[in-house]
Amino acid sequence: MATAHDIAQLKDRALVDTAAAASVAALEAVRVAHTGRRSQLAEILSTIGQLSADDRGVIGKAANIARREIEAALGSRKAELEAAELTEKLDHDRTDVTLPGDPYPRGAMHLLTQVRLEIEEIFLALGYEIAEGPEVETEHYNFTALNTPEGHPARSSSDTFYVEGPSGVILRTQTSSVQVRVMEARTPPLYVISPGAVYRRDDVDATHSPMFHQLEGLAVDEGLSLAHLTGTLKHVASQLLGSTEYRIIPDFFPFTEPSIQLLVRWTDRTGRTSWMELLGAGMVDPNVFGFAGYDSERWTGFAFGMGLDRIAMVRHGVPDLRMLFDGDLRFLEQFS
Amino acid sequence: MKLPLSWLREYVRPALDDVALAAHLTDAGPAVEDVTHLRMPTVGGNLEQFRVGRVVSAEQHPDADRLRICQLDLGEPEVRQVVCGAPNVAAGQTVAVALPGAVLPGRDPLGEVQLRGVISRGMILSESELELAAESAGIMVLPDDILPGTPVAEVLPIAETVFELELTSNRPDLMGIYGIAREVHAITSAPLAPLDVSEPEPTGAGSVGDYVSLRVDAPELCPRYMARVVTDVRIGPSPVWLRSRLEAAGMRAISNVVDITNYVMLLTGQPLHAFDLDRMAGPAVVVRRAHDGEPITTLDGQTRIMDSDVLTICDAERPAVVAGIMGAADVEVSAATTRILLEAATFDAPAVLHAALRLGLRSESSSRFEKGLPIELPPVAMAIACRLLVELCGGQLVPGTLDVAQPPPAVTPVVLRHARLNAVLGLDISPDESAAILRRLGCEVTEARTTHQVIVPYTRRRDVAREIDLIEEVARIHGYGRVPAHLPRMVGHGTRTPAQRRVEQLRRYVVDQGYSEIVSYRFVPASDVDRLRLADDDPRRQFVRLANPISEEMAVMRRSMLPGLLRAAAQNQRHQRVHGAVCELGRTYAPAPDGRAEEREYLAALTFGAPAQDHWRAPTPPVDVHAAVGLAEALCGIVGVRPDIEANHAPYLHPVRQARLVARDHIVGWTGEIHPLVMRSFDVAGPSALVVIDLQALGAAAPTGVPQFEDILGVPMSMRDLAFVVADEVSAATLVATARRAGGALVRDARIFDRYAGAQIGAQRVSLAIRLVIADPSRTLTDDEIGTVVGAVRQALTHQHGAELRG
Repeated sequence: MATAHDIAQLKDRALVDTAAAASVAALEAVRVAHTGRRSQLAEILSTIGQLSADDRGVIGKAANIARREIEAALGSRKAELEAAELTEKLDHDRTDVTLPGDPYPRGAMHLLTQVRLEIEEIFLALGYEIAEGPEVETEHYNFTALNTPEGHPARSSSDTFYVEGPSGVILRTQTSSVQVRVMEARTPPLYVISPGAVYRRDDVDATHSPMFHQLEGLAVDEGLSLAHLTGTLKHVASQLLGSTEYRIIPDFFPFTEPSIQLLVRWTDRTGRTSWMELLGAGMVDPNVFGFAGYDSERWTGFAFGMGLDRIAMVRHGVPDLRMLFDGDLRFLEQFS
Repeated sequence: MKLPLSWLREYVRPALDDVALAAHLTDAGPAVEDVTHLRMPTVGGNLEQFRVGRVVSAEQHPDADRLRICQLDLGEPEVRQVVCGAPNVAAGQTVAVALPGAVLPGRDPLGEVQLRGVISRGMILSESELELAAESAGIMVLPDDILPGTPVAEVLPIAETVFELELTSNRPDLMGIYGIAREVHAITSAPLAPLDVSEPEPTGAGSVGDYVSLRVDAPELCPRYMARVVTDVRIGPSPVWLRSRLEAAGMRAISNVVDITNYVMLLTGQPLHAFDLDRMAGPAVVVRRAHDGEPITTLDGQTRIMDSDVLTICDAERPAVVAGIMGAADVEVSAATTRILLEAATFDAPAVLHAALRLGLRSESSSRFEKGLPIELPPVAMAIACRLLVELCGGQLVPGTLDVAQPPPAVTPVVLRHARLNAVLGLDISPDESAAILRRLGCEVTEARTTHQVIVPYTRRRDVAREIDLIEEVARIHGYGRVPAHLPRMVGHGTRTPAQRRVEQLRRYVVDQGYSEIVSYRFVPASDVDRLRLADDDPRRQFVRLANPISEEMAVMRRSMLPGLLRAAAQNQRHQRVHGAVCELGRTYAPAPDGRAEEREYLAALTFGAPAQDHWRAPTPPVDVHAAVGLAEALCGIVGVRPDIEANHAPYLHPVRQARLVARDHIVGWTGEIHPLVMRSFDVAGPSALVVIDLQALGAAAPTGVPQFEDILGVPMSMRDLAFVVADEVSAATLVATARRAGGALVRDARIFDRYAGAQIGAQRVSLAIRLVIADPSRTLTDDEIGTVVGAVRQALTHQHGAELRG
């Protein structure tokens, strides 16, 4: 008959073997040897029924306690060994994480698009809509209805592209032509911007292009004054260039009166500060309202126009206008 | 317009330094673009170092043949010794002297020097050293009545500040110094000196009609023509003061008569023309339209061909001047001229502009006439010029003026309402203040309770004719800087239209797939259609063609997005950028029946060149039609369009590796590899893949409304794969369509997921695998039901396409 002492010895041996097991597989062998069906402990437990009532209580209890202790030890040792084995296994997954990651494509939106979208967002937030119009336009919408009479120098074939065929068709020289179309189609109040390509018969050089881009704005409402134009332009300058210092000087456009120009204080990347011409603007000339059939006593309005190409060049330090149009990825990708 | 400040200050002297004056002008009038300083530097009191001296004695230098030792009286206690190398220096002369310390342009400060052992404590100056003339033979000799010691700057314009003004086209009145003086007066309130327009005594013989006749045949182009005659003129150089002003204003001095006409033009804005009366046939002046094809050889030696919209001033025989622009050499004033015919006229502005453009000829004169000059101005300029001809050229003014003039326009007052003024400007300007501003601008103002009655001076008549014009005048002189800044209180939409949103979504997506956006010129060479291999009868050979293109390379509006992308590709490949991806969103232009254009918007994206294996493990992306189809489908998918892929036959694409995308009967795009001949003609190498999306068509095909939820979360989706072999002419799209049709509504998706072609399958045959996704959203299907669906698909594929099922 096994004594409590024997059981204690069995248990101690089992605990020693458990602690000594160096792998999950070795531990399994230890488990079979010490708690398996053929183990001494299993044998003791299976013969308990044959013991006297007194012994049965003492031995049975001791054997069960021993088995629980051994099983607990086996469990915790197994967790330890598994953790260690996982750690070792993971360590074999080592790689050089500083290698280049997998390539994901990313192109660049054109700088002109980026500038346009940014300005559009400023005006959308103010409540303006965006209108579009044709680029192949009639002299009526581009000039006549904008108070630019026949014989005006801007209408000459040295300044404006004319289209072959029926007379009076041109490439629009300004997005202002859209103003007229919007006014013709709608009644005030109107708050509209119109971006797009425009064309003038300039030779190509670093600061001139026969095609460039403008963004035009038109507001017509009751009670609009030059102060509202000033407030709008000031807001745009600060949003777009972070420029709070501005200056308004006289200018001339046939379709606005008074006509003004907005200068903003601009520091370029070399640190040079100057007054930059940001845009031209003015109060809509009553003659233009006359063409649109609006009552200029009731409605007043303002219009403004800015060159997107120039703003892009100044803001991003682009030295040559041609770079915007020749599709060189070395240029384009700098703005992605 | 160049504005020499010394000239301006003859008429108006605001209490402002140059910088402040420039700022005031820019803020209220013409912008000062640039400020330059001519002749002697003014900094550090430099001008004080230039003094008038009298040559007391001039002795030969003992050791140098060409040097003289001069003793100069400079008003100093002692005479000053200066060594001078000029051949013309002589005792008794009054001269300009630079003292030690003086700085001449581009030189170090003058010092006391030893010249061959003799000390020289200054320098006697020539006109060229003072930059009053381009060259001079010796020192400058001044009039004797100037006291020794007088600063030279008080008697000679040895320093000048010039403002470069940017004038707007509505202000021809500012193309004269006096007009700018008027403007400075209005802006600063500094008093304005009157212009002296007094005529000299007419001392010539007879009267003007004895010398020349005048006939104006084209009064519609010449509202006024004035002519006077001056005899006994002595041609020679102009005095220094006149020459220095002309040169500071940017004109070259030529001879006294020509210089006077230019001087008066610069002063008044009114161009003048002087003829040699003795070289004029007749002598007669005939103002008429040129004949079509009539030649004239202008002063610059070029022969130009005029037309009947060009006005010409003729003598009795031939054109002598292109009116308002430039004269012919043979009637111009020369060194031998003694009798002058002086013209002061008004010409029709658009006609002068037309002629200048027609003949490719612009001049100081035409730049003024083409903006429109008032009919009242010629007599002013005529009077000043005649006086100068008498004073500076010794001329005798012949009595009488030939003057053919239309009546001046009627003077009507313009009404300015005080309330309107302030409503338009958002300001509170008092009637007194607006009246004062208008008066400074030369207006006559009659004040009433709520309005001003304003008579505008003739100099501004063209530009200031309405109430709003007066409001602008008051606003700018009052100061735009004083206008408050308010945002309008407004209610607008503040959103993009669905179409605008769609375009920006597509742009963002295609860029995020690695395509960089380009902006290319919309005018292209007409030969692009040949490079694109368009057939002779292809409608895309019809262009919106420019009548006046800059070059043949920019002659027609584009019909296709492709050339722009290919040119960008070629440009990059020239820079060793073999592979790349570019896109453009923009319009093409088809001629419309009314002569304008049908402008359609497209998105076009091009991948070009073989990508290099330049990543340590990622495979290179394929560049071919399948890649293009995938991008096209994805772009359509963004707006909810699932297009069918169909055969396409664009001549610029690879004949059998292209497709078009069709949705709801709209061709929403096309795609494929570029035809090798097109690649070659645009000089682009390597594989290529093009996607074009017709943005209008895509918008029309896009579903409206918002997607609605379908409850498919609670039922299983069954997937069944079928592999089969078919003839390779049967398209994948056809097979998928058949499978969908045969399977009915329970087939929620069907797609080809594998493809194999090769020897094992046999020639012209292909093995395809199709995956069916089968479900009924309302219940779970039984295996039998699924089996029935699959069976129907198998049967349809076999019967309709001869598919041999595998496995």
